[in-house]
Amino acid sequence: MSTAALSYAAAERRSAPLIRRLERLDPFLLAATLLLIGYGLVMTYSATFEDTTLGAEGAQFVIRGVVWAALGLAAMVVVAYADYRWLGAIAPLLYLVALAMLVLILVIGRETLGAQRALVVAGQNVQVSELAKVLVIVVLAKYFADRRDRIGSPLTLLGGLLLLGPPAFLVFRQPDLGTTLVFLAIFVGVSFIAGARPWQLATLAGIGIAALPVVWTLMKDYQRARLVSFLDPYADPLGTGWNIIQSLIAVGSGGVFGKGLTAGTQSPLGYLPIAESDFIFANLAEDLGFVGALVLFALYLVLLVAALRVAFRAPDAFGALVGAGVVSMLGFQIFVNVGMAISIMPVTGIPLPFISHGGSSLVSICAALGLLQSIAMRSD
Amino acid sequence: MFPDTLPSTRIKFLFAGFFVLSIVLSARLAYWQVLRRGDLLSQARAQVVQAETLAARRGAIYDQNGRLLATTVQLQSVYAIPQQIPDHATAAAALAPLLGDTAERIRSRFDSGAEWVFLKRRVPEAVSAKVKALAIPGIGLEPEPKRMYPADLAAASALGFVNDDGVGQSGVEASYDEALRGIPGELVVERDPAQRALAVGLRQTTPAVDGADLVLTLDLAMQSAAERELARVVKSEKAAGGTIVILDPDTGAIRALASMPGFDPNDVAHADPESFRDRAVSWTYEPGSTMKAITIAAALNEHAVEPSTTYDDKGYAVIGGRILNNAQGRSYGRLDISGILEKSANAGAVFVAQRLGAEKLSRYLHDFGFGQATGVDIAAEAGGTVRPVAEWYPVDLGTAAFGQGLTVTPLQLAAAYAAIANGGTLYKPYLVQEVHARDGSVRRTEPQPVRRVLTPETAAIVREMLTSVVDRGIAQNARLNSYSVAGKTGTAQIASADGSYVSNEYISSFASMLPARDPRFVVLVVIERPQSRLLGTLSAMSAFTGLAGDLMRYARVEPDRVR
Repeated sequence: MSTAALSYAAAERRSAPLIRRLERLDPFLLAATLLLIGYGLVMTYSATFEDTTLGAEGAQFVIRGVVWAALGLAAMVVVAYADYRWLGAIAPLLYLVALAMLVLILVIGRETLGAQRALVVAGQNVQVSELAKVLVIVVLAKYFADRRDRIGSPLTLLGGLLLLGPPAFLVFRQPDLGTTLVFLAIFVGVSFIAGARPWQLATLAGIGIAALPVVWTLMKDYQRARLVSFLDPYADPLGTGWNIIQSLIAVGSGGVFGKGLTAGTQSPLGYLPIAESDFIFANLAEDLGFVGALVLFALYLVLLVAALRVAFRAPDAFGALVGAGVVSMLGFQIFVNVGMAISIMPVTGIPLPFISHGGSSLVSICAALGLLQSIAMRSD
Repeated sequence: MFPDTLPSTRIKFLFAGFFVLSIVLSARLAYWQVLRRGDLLSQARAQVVQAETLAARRGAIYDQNGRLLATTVQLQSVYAIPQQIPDHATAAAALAPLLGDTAERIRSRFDSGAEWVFLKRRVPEAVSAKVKALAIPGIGLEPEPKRMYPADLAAASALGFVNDDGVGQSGVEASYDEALRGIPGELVVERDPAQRALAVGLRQTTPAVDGADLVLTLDLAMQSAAERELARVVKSEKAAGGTIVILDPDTGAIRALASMPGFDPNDVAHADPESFRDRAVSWTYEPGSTMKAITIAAALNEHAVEPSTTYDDKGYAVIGGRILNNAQGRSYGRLDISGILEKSANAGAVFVAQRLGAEKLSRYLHDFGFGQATGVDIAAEAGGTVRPVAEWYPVDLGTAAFGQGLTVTPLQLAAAYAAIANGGTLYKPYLVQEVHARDGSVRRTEPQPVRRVLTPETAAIVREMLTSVVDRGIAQNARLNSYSVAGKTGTAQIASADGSYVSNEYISSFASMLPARDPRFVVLVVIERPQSRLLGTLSAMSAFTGLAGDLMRYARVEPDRVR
């Protein structure tokens, strides 16, 4: 932490005692966060326990999950403790940091599953784009918060889009279509709450749809195959349709009450691919059934509603828009990931918040929720 | 406190959006997990759970003295999973000498792109042990059953054979297939997408019940002697084929069933399909003069004639406006009934048949078992053809009297002679004596009398007459030094497809029982198309004498004659 940040925090401590701010902590947001982290650990255990394709590595997943959860909680505490407002002050710097990281990853990134997404730091894969999402939230929130008086102008919206363009393009080039879409969702969410005119947003959406053929040609073959197989998975049941079919088999065979933790066959037998990450929801639905999924949905709803309430009560527009961005990011990821497992969305590699096994995602989300707590603690 | 510059209604809009989306997700989830559950659950099970058949061991077949005729051995087949073989060239070079193949050919099978390939099926144990000792990753052995016939060609047509899947195709192998096969078991295992069985997965085993063992009535020694003599005569006569049937007249048990052309049951792939047709059971012919004994037995039993009845043989008979000649047109003068058999006079047989009448002759043909399958426990039995009496022309009574215009199987004729031999009762012939099930239970075949055909007195008189045939008559070449023999020769023409006879082609036969006074065996020799026409019955009798001496000594029958 820079000396500037420390002095800012020191000043804050003088103006508002820590005890008073802790009272303002949002208890619903905190409870939902902790429960979801716990749920995620249980699912990591279930998905990797006795997984024949993982062998003895299985236990490693749970241990790593616990370590990442601890790191995430630490990050949340640190971010909550700091005043979110100085992040707004250094937003241009954060923007440059995000761009630099995304360029770096394209140059020296480590390739997994055909995409350059991770930096290796201290032996761990760090998914830079996960952190970039949080930074983009802060940057866009600051941008729109500063232009509240000119929000009706199309130029404001276009300016925000220009700001989003470079990081979104860099992520798209990794290639990571899922995270690119998350960036767009954040943009729409933040600009919408900031007061962007609906017709302007609709025009943008229209332009986006018109540009789809161009995006199609820019997409990789496997991305196109995923879209095609979403429409008709049984056209190639052993190839591109395999993931969707296996996911639906896992979900459907779980039934109302599920087969019980670790009792599902789809994941441990290796039928369900990347069951601990992209298809964790199918795994959850197989093991814990419809009831388990509804419990998860309920926790998410509590989390999102609490987060929206924080945004609603934020002391300034910046805080409110940060809240809107975090909520947009989480809501979009949840909908797309779950939708993918139950065939209402095409397959894209978007992790399910808290439940997918992945340290970068968990720590980034915890940091984002720390931001919300920071906002909550500074609301009156 | 929300800054009033921001539209709070939009946050409420977002609230509402999340609720709607959660309902959409829940509804879609409920669709898959409740409505489509059964379908998807069965898909999950179907792709994970696989049932493997546990083959039951096929039962063995023994002769009546417990000598092994057929058994199943587990041989190993060598297979390869090329992907798991670290070095294709080295592995091919190491395997080539063991499998008797070139390294290049083995190598090409590794590189064929197949995930799994047989290198050699059913290798000898010595080879499989060496392959196992090499311990090359990706090279494995899989047990495969192979049906073995340790007696080689002996009794091949009676035993039959099995196909590659172990299903009986002919003979006893086919007729007792269900008992021999047993009940296959089932092993249900969970598999991953690479089709590997899972150590932790569910396993349910229904053990296989091995097939039952069979003990035949067949005697390997008699069978071998019969095959030896049949082969000798068929070869010397350049005959198309033939059969020898040995029956126990008191039970109907089949002691030997030789058939030529034969085949090697250990190598059916290279056998002539015609050789699979059992000449004794699945083949019919016009019996000819051997049927005169049946005609005369019927007439004596009905007292249509008496042994002392005589007639004047002019060398021919006139019946239904047709003239039926004796062989070579000979005339024999005054003959009694025994004389008719001793000379094999066609005109005499017609005389007896006319005394008996068509109705009764037809009934006796039926009662002796002609024109219908005997019901023997061998697959693909033929029934022979005897037209119903309503369709007979007057001349048919005459021709039927000496065995023309009707067809029989050799087994039918042997069974009919057995009825004469045992005092007048027709028994159903059978080949399987005992069925030994795996649970230790034994099912024994009891002799099955079909009906009484002759009185014991009539049977004794006919036996006496048939003894005269061998001692003084046409079959003197069948005489044995130390045993009495009762028998009758037959030379029949071969009917072609259009009903006319094929010139210069004959089927020669000799039907007999010995010892004549208290027959222990009925022996029927049939030679198909012997090349020496006139000596054809001689060769049939020669096969009989070559066999009969061994048969009597082997069965430890006391000699009833001293020369």
